[in-house]
Amino acid sequence: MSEFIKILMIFNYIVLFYFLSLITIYIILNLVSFFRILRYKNKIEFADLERIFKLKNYKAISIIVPAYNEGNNIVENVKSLLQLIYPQFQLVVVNDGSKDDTLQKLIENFNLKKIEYPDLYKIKSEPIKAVYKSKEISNLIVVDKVNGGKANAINAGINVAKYPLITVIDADSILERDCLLKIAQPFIENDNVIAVGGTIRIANGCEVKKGHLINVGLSKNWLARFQVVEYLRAFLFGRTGFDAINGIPIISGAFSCFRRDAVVEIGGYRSGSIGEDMEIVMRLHKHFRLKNPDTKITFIPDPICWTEAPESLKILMRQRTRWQKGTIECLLLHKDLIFNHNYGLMGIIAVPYYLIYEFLGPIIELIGYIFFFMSLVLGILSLEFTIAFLAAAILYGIMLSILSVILEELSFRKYPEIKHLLILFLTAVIENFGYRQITTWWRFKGTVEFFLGKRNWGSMEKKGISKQNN
Amino acid sequence: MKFYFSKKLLLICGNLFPSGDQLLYILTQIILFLTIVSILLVITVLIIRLLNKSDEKRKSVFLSKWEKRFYEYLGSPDDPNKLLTDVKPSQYKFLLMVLRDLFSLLDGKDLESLKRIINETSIYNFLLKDLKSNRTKRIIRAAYFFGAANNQNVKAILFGHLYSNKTDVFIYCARALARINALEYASAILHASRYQKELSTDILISILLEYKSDVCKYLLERLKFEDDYYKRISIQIFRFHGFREAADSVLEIFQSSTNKKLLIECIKYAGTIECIDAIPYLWEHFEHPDIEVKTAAIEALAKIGGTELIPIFAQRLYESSFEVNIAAAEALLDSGEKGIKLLKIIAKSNSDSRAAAVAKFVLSENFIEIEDE
Repeated sequence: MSEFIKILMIFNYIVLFYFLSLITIYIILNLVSFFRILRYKNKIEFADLERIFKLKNYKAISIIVPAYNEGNNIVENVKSLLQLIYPQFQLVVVNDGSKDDTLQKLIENFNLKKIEYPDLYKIKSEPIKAVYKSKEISNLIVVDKVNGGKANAINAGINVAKYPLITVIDADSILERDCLLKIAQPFIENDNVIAVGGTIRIANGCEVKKGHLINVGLSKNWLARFQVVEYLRAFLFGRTGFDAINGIPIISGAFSCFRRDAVVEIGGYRSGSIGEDMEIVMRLHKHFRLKNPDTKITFIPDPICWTEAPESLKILMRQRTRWQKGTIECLLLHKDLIFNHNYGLMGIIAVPYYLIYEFLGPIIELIGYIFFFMSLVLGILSLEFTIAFLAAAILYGIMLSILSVILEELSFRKYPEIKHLLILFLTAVIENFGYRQITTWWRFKGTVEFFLGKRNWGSMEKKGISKQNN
Repeated sequence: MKFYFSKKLLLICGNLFPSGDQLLYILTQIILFLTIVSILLVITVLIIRLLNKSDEKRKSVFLSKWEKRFYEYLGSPDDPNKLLTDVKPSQYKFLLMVLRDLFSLLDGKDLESLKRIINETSIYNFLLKDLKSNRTKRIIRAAYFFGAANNQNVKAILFGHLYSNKTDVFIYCARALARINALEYASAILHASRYQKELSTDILISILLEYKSDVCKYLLERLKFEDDYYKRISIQIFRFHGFREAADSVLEIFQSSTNKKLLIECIKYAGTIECIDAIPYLWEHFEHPDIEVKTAAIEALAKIGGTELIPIFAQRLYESSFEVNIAAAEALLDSGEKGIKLLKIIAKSNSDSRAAAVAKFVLSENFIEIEDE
């Protein structure tokens, strides 16, 4: 029994150490992000991007939109994407074997004609059945292919894309009209940049008309609100902080931009991958940083893409377990990056962070809760200490969320009303009582399912933001 | 052994962490600290938001008063100082926010009026102070306005910032010099750019493209004495401006250079200005082992045109590189009727071949029927 108590004590110390180290990392990330965001804001304020991109030496972009059963919104989405501001871009919509009328709607609405596309593809994908081009809209191409999943559809799109930069977006993403100017800027500024990620925000509660964001607002649904604060934390100080050490291991699949030749060189997206957006970024790091240590995968903190967040526990659970499985899959596939100094601070700090706090985090946290409870029952820890420790942990969580709201307020100030701010603060407090614990549980569940071999993508039903507004 | 290890670990942990009452005391202090910090942070943000709100209010009050006068002034020969008679220096930030938006919207006489507000009023001194400061944000703002207002008096200060160790400062000051069309600093921008570790060629080109086309002459005069980097950038600028006077110098470089990037620039330039004298050299590069060079040569020759080139383009449809095939097929398409006719023949002749597939693709992509022959 005494040995068991010792083990219990040791584990309690491990949890305490884990907690303290996480605090330290978050504080550092916060500070770094604060200065980087301010620097970015100063720079972008007078950038005059629209004028600069008219100066002829822009890099043309192919926007790849994988679409599966998007018949309800596809026409409206394509129309809004065609209105983006950029001197030269093409839109490549990939119909990934949809079972609904996605393709038919595109053909009818955009007067598409089948073209003879040569079978000389550079990246493997499921067979392409046909390629269509619009007679009226010269920059619209539609690829019809056999179903193979998102990564596979993107690969087919890359094969057909003709411009040096490719932007991958979700069909239902709501983009700011100048998003391409902003995401292409790092490629113009630095020759070593091979990929750029953008900040994603939650569109629930916002006013959207014809695929364009009209007014920013907050959803009445608490799950969506929790995710707003979560996204602020993840993007404003998570990714911005890792960007400072060129250690971004993931770029959101909802909006990302790559140099086409770089993606082709590594063979495109890994088909069948659960976390395809993280996997490709890690593979790009691995491949290119050995060739050129100055290779950069960067991130812009400007909120340029808005996406619909799940408002039901069931769908959110599916999403979170899938994200966890994706993280584990990528870390296992690229375990040689962990503590590998050849990849700079990415290998020494960023990937180990993901291993310890993202992969192992839910396991440590959950066992921590159990051991803490057992220690309490066995009288190893006093009730006062347990309460004090939990209170400190929760307060710390609240402070972190508040800090991310502050970063947003000091930088982009997208939420226009004081009422929004107060709701966000309230959300930052409430999310620590139940929501955080439940997401930890889902991540733990994802971990267990991954090792039990349940590695399917799962379906993600969405209401559609425009519909919600109607 | 296992228990011994756990004992040791416990001992280490015990030594590292305080225990019992001590730990409880520390935790209580942490809780107090976090509570106070969190409350303070919330209050700070709310104060910031309220300040911003009142700033916005002041801005709209200021604008409502100022707007009418401003629109009367626009395009007129009035003294711009009259516009600022009631404007306090503390309100300049609102004014500059408005002017920034207007600079990207207005043109012609209205733009000239706008420039006079920057150049002939007390805003000039306000921005000059910014430009002379050490703060990046202020330098960027001043450089932007002086560049947009075409202010000739600040060139020397802008030049001084070219050697700043902050890339953003370099970019904004170099861009301002270029917008002012300060030709005497064009070479300085090129030279100073070498000290900017994170600066790309593309951004440098975009800066130099802000100059008017007379920068080409200036760059051409120095071309002989400079290295490959300078030459490559200069030739790109010549190409974007369609500057024909550089043809001889570029052809000379084209014949002698082994630098791939420079070679490609020469080829692109020759194509853009449709340089007939370059045809033999371009032809030579049809056999170049590098696909990029070869593709550039085909594209350049396609721009120069001439039906005698059609069979040469057609040959390239049978090469192993897809990029070369596409460039050749598009060159045939651009060659007019004869080229299209040949493309149709290739498309029909051997439907299984790669050349036929590429020909079919280029034709169908341009909605040209193959069967109408």
